[in-house]
Amino acid sequence: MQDSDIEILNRVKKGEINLFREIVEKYKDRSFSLTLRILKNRNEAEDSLQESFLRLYKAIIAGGFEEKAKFSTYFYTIVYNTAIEHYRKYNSKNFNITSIEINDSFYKDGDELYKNYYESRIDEALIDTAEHGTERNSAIAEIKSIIEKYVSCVPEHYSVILNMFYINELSYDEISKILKIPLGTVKNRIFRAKEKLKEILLREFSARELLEYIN
Amino acid sequence: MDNLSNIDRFIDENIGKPMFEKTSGDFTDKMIREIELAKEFQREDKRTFRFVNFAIAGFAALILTVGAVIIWISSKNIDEQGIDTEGTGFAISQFIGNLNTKIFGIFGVSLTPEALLYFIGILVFVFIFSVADKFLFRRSY
Repeated sequence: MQDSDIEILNRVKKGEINLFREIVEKYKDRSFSLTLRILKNRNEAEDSLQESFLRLYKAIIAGGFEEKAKFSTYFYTIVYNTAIEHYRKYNSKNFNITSIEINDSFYKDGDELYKNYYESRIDEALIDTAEHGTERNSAIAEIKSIIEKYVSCVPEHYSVILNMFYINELSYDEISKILKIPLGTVKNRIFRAKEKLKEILLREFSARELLEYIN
Repeated sequence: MDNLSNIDRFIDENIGKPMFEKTSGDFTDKMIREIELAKEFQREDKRTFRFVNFAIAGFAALILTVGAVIIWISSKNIDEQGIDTEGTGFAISQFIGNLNTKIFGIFGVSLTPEALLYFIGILVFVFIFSVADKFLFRRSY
């Protein structure tokens, strides 16, 4: 995958601009997910992503990208930094990937992951089970809905890392380098986020039920 | 234990799915248009840069010529004091000197050795800045 990207980039550098379309097509959605996680506004996220691709193009032409580096890491670094610049442009407070909000320090280790989730649980009661027919289908729909709700409520210092790991398919080490945070923090956040989701699911369903529905 | 690892696997497989977002349908086309525009701008920038370089080089040559002429005239004046100063060489140098003084006068600059030094200083600064802009301030990600 890396080799084909490098080959395309080399040809783009030689003037075949149209090949850049392949890079855009391949990375646009995954990087848009990351940008949206930071900016939380589709228009701003698209603007930021456009700028990221432009920066990438200019870097390729100027020879800023070295083939020794892994392209995806290089590109997602641009995407992340550009989104942070956009965030600072439109928001008075800084985007802080390293620390949780002060108010969250009242919570037990990892409980800030619950906070928004339970505040938005009221809507959850509106899940339409009628259209799903069987009990199993409605349970599966509810599990998916819980995951969806959980992911949308997770604070950004978790969601950005989760996005990088699961959507952008970056390794712990790559995430740690891009975000400039310790490797242990990255591993810990991913582990915690998964554990909390597991806890939420196990509060709603017994382990036996859950296994029955997910298998 | 095995049951829990099954749940872990399920979470691993599903936690990312709700995060996946798609860009608008015309994103790629817009992007390629932007890239083409950027390429066009780059071409324009190159042309402008080349023109500015020529202009700076021309201006530098002019300044140096004027400087050389002034030095030559001054040295001639000192050396040939008391000797006939009506010769053709002197007349030509006088003419060039006057012409340059007039040209600089148009820009409101009086041609003195001090002014010349300032000009050379500015040129050196412009040169250093353009080199620095090209090699040092080039953005890398």
